[in-house]
Amino acid sequence: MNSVKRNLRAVRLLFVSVLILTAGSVQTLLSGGVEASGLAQEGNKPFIVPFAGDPGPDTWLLIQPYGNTLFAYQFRRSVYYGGQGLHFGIDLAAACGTPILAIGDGVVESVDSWHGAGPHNLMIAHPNGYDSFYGHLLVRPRLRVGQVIEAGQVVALSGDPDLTCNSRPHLHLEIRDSATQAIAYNPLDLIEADWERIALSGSQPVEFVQELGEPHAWLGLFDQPETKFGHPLVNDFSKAWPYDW
Amino acid sequence: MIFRKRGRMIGRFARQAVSGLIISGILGVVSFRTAQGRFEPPEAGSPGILRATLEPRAVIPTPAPSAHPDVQPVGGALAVPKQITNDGCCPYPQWSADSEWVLFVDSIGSDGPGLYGVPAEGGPATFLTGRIGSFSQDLSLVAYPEAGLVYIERWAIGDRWLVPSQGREVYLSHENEWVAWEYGSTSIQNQDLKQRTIWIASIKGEEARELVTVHGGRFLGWINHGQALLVSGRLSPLSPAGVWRIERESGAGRLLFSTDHPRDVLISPKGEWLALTVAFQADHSKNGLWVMRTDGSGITRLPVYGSYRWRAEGELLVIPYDFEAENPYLWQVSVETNQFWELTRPEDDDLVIANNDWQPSPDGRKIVFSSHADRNLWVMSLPDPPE
Repeated sequence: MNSVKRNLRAVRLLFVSVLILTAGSVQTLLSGGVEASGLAQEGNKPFIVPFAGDPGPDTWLLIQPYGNTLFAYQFRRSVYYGGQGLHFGIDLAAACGTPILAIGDGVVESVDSWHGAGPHNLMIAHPNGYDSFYGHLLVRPRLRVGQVIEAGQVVALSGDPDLTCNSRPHLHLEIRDSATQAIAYNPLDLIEADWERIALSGSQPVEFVQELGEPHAWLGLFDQPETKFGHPLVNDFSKAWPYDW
Repeated sequence: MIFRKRGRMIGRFARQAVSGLIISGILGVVSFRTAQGRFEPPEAGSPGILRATLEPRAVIPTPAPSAHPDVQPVGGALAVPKQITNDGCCPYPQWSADSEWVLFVDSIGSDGPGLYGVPAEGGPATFLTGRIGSFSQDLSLVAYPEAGLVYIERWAIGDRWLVPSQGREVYLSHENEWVAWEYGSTSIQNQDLKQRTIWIASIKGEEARELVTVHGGRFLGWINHGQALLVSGRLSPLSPAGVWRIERESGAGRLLFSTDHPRDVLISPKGEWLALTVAFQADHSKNGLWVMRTDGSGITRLPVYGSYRWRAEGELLVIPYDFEAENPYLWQVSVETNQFWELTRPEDDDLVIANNDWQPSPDGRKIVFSSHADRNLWVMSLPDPPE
């Protein structure tokens, strides 16, 4: 059954690739490659930022990066258990109703699927072997499964998981492998932007958790492991800093 | 911040939507009422589903910071950083009280995990203690959890005592006289519904008592030599949201700054000043970096946003959020006189800060940062603005 689904997905991706080639996005397809596991080279990242304009207090802010963040570590046995204890996407704060842009050419894979991140979500399949997932959307995107999308096209509106537009409005963005959707990659490795400079915001460092037996691992924005959904926790450390009070 | 529960999603979201609407409605109405019972216009972006329209929100970028302030050169040589560690190491550096050492958590050779220090001028790292925890400002005390309890220890001599926080993280006052902790909601969901009760005790953990309960907020820090503390949120479901000053003795609260969910609140070293960020308000004149005294006076919105730290009382260091610039650069803002000073230039490419991880020294003469170029610690001596 799984192999049938996988084959169907491969056929769909092939179809998508043809559609996008026809639409004139040859350059994106060629630069992005076709290997899901082959992460983009520095300076040649295949995707764009999902919001228009520079970050700032009027527009959007990076509030939680991908990986072994302190926040994910504190909820590693609950919210993030299925993602090996990692924050398997990035959180970009923005006011409710802020337009969300597709990070690359592709085709709508699903709308309001079982992937969570409510109240609404969207998955777009890209011809380079990745899927992008947009969570905590304000309203159900008015898109059809199979609809062709261009990079930079407004595909959704940012919302709030608590439905108040005041509690913690933000976009949760993931990038997964198209073949299985069972692996999540660090979006900062794949989205072209000066992320270290974007992180220079506010009064607190971006906090990752140190495993005291190996205290230099997984501490940078770009030094983070892949997430294999359903696999065991990778950060259930016996000695960690900061403490999980 | 994402939830992955299959099945019954529609029902759950429907229930959340209904409760969210009710709660938002209540909060939206009560935000019209001040603590004195008078009605005032609500803060822009006050809680409420009303802003969750179906229409896209117009995005108006923050004005370029250089368009506003008149930035003065400090004269003489600008700051140049110096590498003080090798081989990559040491995130989240802190300063010793005398500004002579940079401290960090690491595990080096046979010494194992612990707190290490390296001279601010560079040199080999020295193992200081295997006790890791939240250190007091003068580094004489360290608080840490053990078997579900929290201890404070005078680590130089090993004298330790229990704090009755039942395992919760504790916050020491600057003069090591008082300690605070929070009980309450630790769930991930709705920030506005979270209630936290702030408890205080003497540094020895004695005379523990409940001081105040905050709704949708949290403990921010001690000020005024431990005579008061700051919290965010509401003091009751009917009070306005913002940053509150709470007197330690009486528990009396005073609203210093009205806003929902202040971000990145930073108290100056001696507790006299406060900086915070307001973001995503529909009225863009409210968004940005704000400073004020902790007595509630001198509230000012700075014409710059970015990464910020207090160099001294009333002297704020800011790395402007300027994406047109060639490189990140450092300014100093004298907030009382609204003077801006250029400490490094955009042409200089050596302010390569990783993870927004940088700290001014207690004497205000240097900063240390973690480099994203080599993962080492670098120290930069800061020039002084003219008197």
